[in-house]
Amino acid sequence: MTRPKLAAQELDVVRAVRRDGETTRVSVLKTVDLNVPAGEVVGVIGPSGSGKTTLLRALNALEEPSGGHVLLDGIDTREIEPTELRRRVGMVFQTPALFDETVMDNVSYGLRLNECSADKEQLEGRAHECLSFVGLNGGFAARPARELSQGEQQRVSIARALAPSPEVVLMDEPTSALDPTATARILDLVRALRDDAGLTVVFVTHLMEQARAVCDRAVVLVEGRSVDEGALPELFEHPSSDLTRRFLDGRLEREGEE
Amino acid sequence: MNGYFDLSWADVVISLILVGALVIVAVVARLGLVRDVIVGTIRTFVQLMLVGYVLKIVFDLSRWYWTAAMLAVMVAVATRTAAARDEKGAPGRYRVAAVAITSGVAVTMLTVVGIVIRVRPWYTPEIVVPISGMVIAATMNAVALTTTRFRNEMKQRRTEVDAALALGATSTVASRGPMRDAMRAALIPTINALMIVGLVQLPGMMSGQIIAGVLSVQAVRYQIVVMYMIACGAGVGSLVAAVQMRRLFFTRRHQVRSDMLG
Repeated sequence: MTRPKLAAQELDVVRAVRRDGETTRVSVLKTVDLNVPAGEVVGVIGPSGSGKTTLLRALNALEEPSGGHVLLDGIDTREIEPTELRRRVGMVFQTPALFDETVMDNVSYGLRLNECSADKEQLEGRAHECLSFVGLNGGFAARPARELSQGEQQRVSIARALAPSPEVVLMDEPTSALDPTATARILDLVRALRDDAGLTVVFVTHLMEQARAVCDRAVVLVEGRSVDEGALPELFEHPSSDLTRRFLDGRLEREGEE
Repeated sequence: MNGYFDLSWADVVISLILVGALVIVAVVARLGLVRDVIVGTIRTFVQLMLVGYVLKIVFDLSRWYWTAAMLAVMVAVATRTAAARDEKGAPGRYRVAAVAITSGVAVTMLTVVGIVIRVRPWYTPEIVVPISGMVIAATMNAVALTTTRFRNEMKQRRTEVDAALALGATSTVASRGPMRDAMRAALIPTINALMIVGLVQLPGMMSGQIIAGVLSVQAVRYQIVVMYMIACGAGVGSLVAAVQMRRLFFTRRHQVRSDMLG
């Protein structure tokens, strides 16, 4: 295999949590491996609480790994300034998390941070480009972002992530708050990110059909460990791990809820 | 004494009727506060008596180290109070309160003693102690409001802060919203006080002189300066508290410290 665009090697994340004034350390990820080839959509799947979001957040250093490595083009991300890393590895959250400003202000946020010298016209041009990529016409630019529908807001948040021209986009269950129509549009966009924009995407979901619909490969996380990894749909048809099989059958979720 | 009503110890004892009314309210409304009212009543008596004697001794001695010791105790108590209002067990809360209150008070008092009132010698306790007390109280309130509000803002706006970080913002830029809201919440009461001072409540310094029958233009001037001092102390304290809180809540690699969110 050629060098992956983005990879995690034996990644550990231990998080300090404070409850009732006591700080405890919780091991969230244990020796997780992940390979994300350039130009592919790689799914991170697994039951809720398995560490999918934490893995995603470790990939752009929103979460600090306590062991192992995250490699971007083969370079340890610890050696990259976090602000630069996050410009190259964009992120879309579960909720749109838009700022209480106009759509234009939201989409141009990353550009304004990084290119203070760029003139306003150029900046807005790029923002409009990103808005039209996500299917929102120019009329949306001046509207207050938080007044849009959830589906539109999530599309704005994708445009916002695209504006600084990242090489990789991390997506954390971006459809979980959306109705079926809005969900379908977002999934179309995920494919467009790969096919039209040539981006590499890491896509977290706990829904098999979504992974099937957009992912080229997937890694299965269970209780903070990567238990399986492979191309889709082969991985789902011939899982090599018993845990993957149980997750696919929906047994892990139910056991977890007991 | 002309226009001055002497208050004897017997009068003070009679004034307990007032607290008695509060006790009755607490009992009738079943507030479960009777014990606290009694403790509070006794504490008011003991603390003010004690402070009265201590002040008298400090004033009589008029030594720089006694003034300094007095200020240190006041700042220490203010620190404890401010930290106690922040979240229980939150790491660093004593340090944040101590540094912020000390900074606010120091900047204000150095300005006042050095160039406004030009107190000579600088440690003249009759001036420095009461004026510091007012500044310390105002700064303490501003610091407590700043820290509690900042913590809440960071919790409520966590995803927004993360979104800004994920776009390549530094922690300073990403926390602008919480910083701004925390400082505004802390300073608006002080600014409002500047607006309405004298219209509803007469400030303590003037009230004391009016009752003692010696209200002077001096007292009015002092009160104006005191109001400006309070504003200065609150402003500096709030800023120093907010900056420290921001440092506490983020790692050097521009990550939110989840253990700070509780």
